[in-house]
Amino acid sequence: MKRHLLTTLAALLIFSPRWAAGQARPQVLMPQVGIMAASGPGVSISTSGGVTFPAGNPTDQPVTPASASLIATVSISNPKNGNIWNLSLRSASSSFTGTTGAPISISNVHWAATANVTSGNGSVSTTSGQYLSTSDVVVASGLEGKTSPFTVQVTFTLTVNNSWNYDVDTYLQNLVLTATAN
Amino acid sequence: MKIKAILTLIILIGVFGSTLHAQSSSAASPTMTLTVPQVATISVSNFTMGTSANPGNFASSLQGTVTLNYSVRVPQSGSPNAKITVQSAATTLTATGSASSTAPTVGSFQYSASASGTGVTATTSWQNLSGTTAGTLVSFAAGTKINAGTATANFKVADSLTYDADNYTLPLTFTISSQ
Repeated sequence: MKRHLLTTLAALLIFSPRWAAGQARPQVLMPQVGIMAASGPGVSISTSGGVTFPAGNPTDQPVTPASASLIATVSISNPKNGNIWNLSLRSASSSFTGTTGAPISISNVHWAATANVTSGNGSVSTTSGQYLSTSDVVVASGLEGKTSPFTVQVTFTLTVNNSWNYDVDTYLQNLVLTATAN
Repeated sequence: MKIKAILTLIILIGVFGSTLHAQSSSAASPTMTLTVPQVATISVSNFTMGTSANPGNFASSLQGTVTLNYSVRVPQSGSPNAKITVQSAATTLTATGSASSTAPTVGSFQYSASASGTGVTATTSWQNLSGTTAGTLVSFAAGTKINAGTATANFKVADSLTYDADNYTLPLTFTISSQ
């Protein structure tokens, strides 16, 4: 009973900021925890714009490349040396949708990515390209460096399988790019 | 007891520390736009109407056929008027032997067509060819999508006493439209 009370008291004291501020030895530990939270990495992502697939005659052009590459820039402020960061990709929904045409499966879109570090001294590597899905797939990942900001530029090459089955229309769908830094 | 309390403290601090370990994330949602256009292509070769019988039978007619290879993708919306048309590209036939030869007139030629497929309708009855107005050989319904279609265009001209012996050519223009 006495032992239990002592343990509980110790736990309460640990979570008490007042106690932390007023004590000598544990104070050494508590500020350390506080610093970790305050100086953790901050990640932001921006893209070069949208992606346009100007599909042509499927007989002449069975695979339609996007008119321009999609460039995603991931920037991590206060990177923590050696911690892992990553960028994942998915489609917001399973199909392109138009106004009158039948939906076109998003699985017809293929992506491939290249990446390079443009600022800082972390690392980046990309995974093999694949067809798009609604599940998050890690496109690029690496380790954060010491220098802030740590910035990586990921270039996506996107294509869509063209088909005679597609109806004449303009179809839309969103990609979802998520950058995470630990 | 003191040792155990200190151990408890250390364990609790460890747990507390890990819960505060920061993870940051950010997302972007660029839009993908897929434009699927109308398609209309056609190819056709030269063809021969035939040779008048010798001795001539002026009650007969010469008839020729040609295959049209096409692809078409017609919009579903609106009121598309997709079709394959034919029109004479000249007002008269050209005689290769003598410029003074009397040739059939453009209007003495007739055309018809045959084709099959969902959304495909051919003009099967004989129509007079025109040098000024395009005539419809095949029409396509809204939403029709044909990768590699074929249609047959038929032409005929009645033989006549007035025609001189010669070879005559007539350029034709075949047009496909998806709207």
